[in-house]
Amino acid sequence: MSVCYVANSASVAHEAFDEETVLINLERGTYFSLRQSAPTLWLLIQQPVSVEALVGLLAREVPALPADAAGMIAAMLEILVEEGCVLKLDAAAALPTDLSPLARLGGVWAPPIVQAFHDLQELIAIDPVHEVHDFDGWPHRPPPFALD
Amino acid sequence: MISTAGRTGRRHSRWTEAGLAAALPLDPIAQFGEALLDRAEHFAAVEHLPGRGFDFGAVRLSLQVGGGLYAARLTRAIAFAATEAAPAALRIIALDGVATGLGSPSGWHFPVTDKSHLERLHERPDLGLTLRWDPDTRTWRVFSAPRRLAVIWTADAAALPEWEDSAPLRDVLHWHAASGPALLLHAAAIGRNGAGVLLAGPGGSGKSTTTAAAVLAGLLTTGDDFVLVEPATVQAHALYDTIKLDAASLDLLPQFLAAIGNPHRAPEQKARIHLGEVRPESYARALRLKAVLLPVVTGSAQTRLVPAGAGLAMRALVPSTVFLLRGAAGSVLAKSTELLRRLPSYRLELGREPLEAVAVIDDFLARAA
Repeated sequence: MSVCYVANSASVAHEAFDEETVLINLERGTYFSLRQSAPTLWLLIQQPVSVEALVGLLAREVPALPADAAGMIAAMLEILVEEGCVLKLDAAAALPTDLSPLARLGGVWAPPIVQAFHDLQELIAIDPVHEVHDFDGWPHRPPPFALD
Repeated sequence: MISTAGRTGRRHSRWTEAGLAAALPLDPIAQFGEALLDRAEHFAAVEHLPGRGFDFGAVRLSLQVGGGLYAARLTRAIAFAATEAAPAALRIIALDGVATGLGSPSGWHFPVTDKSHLERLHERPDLGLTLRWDPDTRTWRVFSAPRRLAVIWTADAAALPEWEDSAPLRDVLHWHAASGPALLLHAAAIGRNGAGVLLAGPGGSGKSTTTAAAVLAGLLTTGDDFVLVEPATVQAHALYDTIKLDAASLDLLPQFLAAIGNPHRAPEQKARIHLGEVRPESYARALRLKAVLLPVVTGSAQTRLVPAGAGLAMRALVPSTVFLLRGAAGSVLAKSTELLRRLPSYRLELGREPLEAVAVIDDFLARAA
């Protein structure tokens, strides 16, 4: 077992464009721009994968992968964990089944860039005052119920 | 009285009509939503609520409202779309609990079993059913695609905040659009001669001020807040005849001071202008889009249009849409992507003068024709 990272697909939607991939965290009301190698790394973590495995894959694709690439990848993943976009778990080490995203790198390493946007969070802020369980009003009884 | 057996029988016939081979189980929240729909249909039939038709191009609906004040508040911003033509693709029944004597519906009284329940949202895409409880306004909104029916049941229409009048029915219109080829977007559109541009960006980006300036310059608009878009045809359809201006924008464009539709608004609220009432000649029912413009206030002397990537346009357009219009996020993302792949995007780096910015947009439209 090793520490693996996987995209939090239940809460995060994404769309890929030529120059960037956009993530939208529907649960937190935040969104992100991923650029340079970050879109490739995001696609590679659609299944649980370790940093070591990611570095191994990149080394095969990028001849001049710098020594600090592992640190950059780990830092990017930890940022996304903190932002709720990536889950960190203990899992059996495995390689992604789809390696086609590696071709996006074109054999060149560029450090991952993650830009976070929190300006719209207030749009989905849950008011803690309005808790559940108010029972007044029609139909007066919680389900299952029968209408008279 | 409605017998349970009769309702069950009707439910089974609806499922057959929807093409479902076997009755799908209803969870308690979905059960409640279907019961709300049944209750509203029954009330509308017994009370003979009159129906009014509205045609937004990509969406045609009939609206029945229980409560005179509620009817007035729901229809002011959409009066331009009134139509006698039939049939409607969506029937909406809106009920004022106080005016109808129905009282307030129960609030959210279900255990939280899904993250969406924290927003009091429940989606059953397999049933084509979406419902959401708004605790601030004590309003349930329910939409059923197979029944082609939506219900909005509010506890007291007189207690609804003033800003609700600017974009009425938007949640159910959003869910209905998501079930078909169209898409509700948080954006403005301006143009002339049937062609236009989408203005996308968060609050404060200059969207509303640019729209108001466009109107003063003789261009047309479909509104500055929400627009109904068909990605396949890049057609933008008007939904609401309102534009909204904050105090700073009114200082820049004092010509609109005499046309404010909510003079008694709270200090922090924007002024609402009903173009359909004060300048109907400035209102476009539809525009064929040529580009997506992403306004950003720069404070520089001159306005510039700078080519931008689709990713930047996505960030300007989609997050505010999915966060303001809850539910159907997947549909919004997919259709937005389709739209952005069909249209070029530009940063609209706004100069200090709104009318100068509009001249730049007008010139772009002339060259794109």
